[in-house]
Amino acid sequence: MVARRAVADEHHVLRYAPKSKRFLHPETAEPLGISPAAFAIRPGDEGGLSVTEVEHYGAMSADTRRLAAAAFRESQPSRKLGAQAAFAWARVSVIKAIGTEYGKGIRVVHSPVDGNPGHAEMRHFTDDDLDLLDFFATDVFSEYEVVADMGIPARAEEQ
Amino acid sequence: MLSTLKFDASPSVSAARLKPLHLLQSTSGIRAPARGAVTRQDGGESATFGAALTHTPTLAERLFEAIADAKVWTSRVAMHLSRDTRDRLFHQLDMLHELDEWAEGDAAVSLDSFKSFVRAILYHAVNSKPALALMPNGNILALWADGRDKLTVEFLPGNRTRWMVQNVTASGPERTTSTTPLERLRDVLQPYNAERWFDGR
Repeated sequence: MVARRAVADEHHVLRYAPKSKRFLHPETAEPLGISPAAFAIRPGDEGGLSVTEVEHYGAMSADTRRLAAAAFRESQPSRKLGAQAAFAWARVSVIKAIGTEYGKGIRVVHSPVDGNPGHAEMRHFTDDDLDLLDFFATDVFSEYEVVADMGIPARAEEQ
Repeated sequence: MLSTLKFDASPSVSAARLKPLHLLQSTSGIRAPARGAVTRQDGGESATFGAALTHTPTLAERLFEAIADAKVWTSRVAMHLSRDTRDRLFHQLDMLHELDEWAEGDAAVSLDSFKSFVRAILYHAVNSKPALALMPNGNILALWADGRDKLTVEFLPGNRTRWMVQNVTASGPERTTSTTPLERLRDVLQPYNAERWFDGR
């Protein structure tokens, strides 16, 4: 296996949370926060939990999160994001520290994919502990932005 | 019966995008022989159009079928559910499966998980209203919140549950997780005041 560069502890990674992985309000069905489901292993997470390194696109800011989100979109077969989906982010050092508390030696490594050179994987992460999934959703990836509010530019061929 | 389930009223998987159910029933990926026996004018010899037809369901069809299966099954136990509860569950199902919001690779709602969820509502007389999400494998994830305290339950196939309780105390949050058979859920949650989650909100 090719050795991958570890993402620096002070850097941040984004995780995509589709609408169905956010809790929907029981009355209005409006999306609430990020649910633990956003951190369960998905079909695209073969090498580890799939995330995007924000700092690959520059210093952490709304602009670089927008660039990272657009790159994530490029890596998707449909090239689409849900308007009510969200991107949640966390600092790598916090991810690793919490992983250690839960007995998991999580490593966050750079793993570029087509369309998203900032793609990274959270290795040695398993989704068998609902407590850990919930803690990630509420306390680790505690900040998020809804796609519709991020100002992600339309793809060139859509303009 | 199907007409009472408001398939075409869904604002998420709209009728305009989806085929009617009678078409879905014949396009669910099952091999069906072509019906095309032809009688020739010149001699009565007949032939049958060639190979069996196959159809891989589109994403819209798969989402529609999953929702339809859940709604049809719910209709069988609807006499035990209030109209409000049934309508709310259907609306939440629709909103969880919006086509424009769907992430590639995720599974639509698991009927077995949904059955566990509805059975929990019935067995434990749950009259509160949890927020819902879908696990990537299609399992229903339900959240009951009471201030910063919360109960999260993943409804597993086969009438099993995986749950997590957070109680915020003066010393900080306490978090407890376990798996338990569905019928034991209220009992095992009793130390955390299960009634506040299941009764009345």
